[in-house]
Amino acid sequence: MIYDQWALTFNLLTVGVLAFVVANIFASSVFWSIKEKLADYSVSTRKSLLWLFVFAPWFIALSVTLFFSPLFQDHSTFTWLTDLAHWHHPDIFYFLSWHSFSLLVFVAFSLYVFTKKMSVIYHNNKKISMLRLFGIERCKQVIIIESPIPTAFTGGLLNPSCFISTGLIEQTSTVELEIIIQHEIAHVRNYDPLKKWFFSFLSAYFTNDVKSLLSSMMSLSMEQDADSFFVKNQQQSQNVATTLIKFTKLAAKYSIHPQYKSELFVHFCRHSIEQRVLHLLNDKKFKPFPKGTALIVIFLLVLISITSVDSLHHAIETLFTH
Amino acid sequence: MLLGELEKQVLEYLWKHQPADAKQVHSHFEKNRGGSLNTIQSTLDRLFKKDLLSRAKSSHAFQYFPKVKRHELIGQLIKDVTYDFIVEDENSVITAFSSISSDLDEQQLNKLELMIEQQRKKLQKNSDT
Repeated sequence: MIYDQWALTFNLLTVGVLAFVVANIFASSVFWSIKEKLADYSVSTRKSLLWLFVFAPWFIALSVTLFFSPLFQDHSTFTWLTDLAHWHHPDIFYFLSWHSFSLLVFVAFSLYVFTKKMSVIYHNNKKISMLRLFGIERCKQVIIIESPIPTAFTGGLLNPSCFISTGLIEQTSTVELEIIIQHEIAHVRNYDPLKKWFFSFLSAYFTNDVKSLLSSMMSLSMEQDADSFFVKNQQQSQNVATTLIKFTKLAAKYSIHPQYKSELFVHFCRHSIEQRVLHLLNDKKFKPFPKGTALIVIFLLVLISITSVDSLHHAIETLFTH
Repeated sequence: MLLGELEKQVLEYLWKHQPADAKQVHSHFEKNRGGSLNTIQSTLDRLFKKDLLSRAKSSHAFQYFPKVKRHELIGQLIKDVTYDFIVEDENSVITAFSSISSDLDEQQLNKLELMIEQQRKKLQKNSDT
């Protein structure tokens, strides 16, 4: 058992963890209930909303922790709120209690996620460095790799490059190749591999269903964003869509060949190719970013989390006396 | 597995002139970039330990030859880099222009192609009028 400042710190961390779990559940519910409506927003708005979802539990946990800290609890201005929710004996912390257990579980899970994600970076970085070494720089950030597999991708976290295979160059026209390179350069300029990694780190705290949907939605949004990055008119949109279909057919042809079967990218299902083409051909007006709704929802989530943490604390303490 | 510049050059040399012993490799690099026989020997040893070279003793020297062909190594790297896409997209740290799935429907793609063509014609018609 410890007292005073350290006890307060550990208690606040416990508050943060509880608030994080509660906020995560509510943010997941909100996301799940509006997932279909996200298609009504433009790609950039959709990306911002997805970031908002994965950041929400962290932001809410921080706000709730601040609320339970002496900064708020010691001031009379927020008396009605402190009456509503408060943390008992914040200056005493028992190591052999559910408080420390929940903290330990959270720290252990975070370490597991961090190690897993760092390992992905480490292994990917080694492979990307090797490909860079064996490739030929066509121009800045565009590397040609000698391989019959028709492929184009962007890799590298802090210093991204796009890789184009000789197999792809041989089987596409100059215009099509330019479209593909521009698409990849858009990923490089947006630092998409790094953002994708960071997004996957934040979404790892959600349940499997939510996590998969968040990841695939972000992947699709990034691809759609890159598709239209250099597009200035409808004709160019159609050219990108045609190239996308042609490349997909080319990749499909190679999948028949057993030698190349496993090398093919299968991260996008037919559905997402369809969505990308439809997005390129679509000229409908999208809804603007729902600033007001987002602020109200976040405020409500903070309030719900504050009261839930208090109620949860009371409920657990009634069941087990620490 | 990470490769240094000299390791890559030695590997490239062996892909073209295999098998070769340390002296043969050294005589090639001595003319082109300098360096001692010891450096070449340790580079060959590192590549052997990285499982990229095989070796067989011939009289008193090792004869080195690549374990994999150039296109096989690059193919393997592409496969590894894109593997995350195949098994678990959430861990993927690359972005790609396109990909396919096993249930890809050629008919569906033709339908999309037709849709693009129709829109192209519509656009053409609008610009003509």
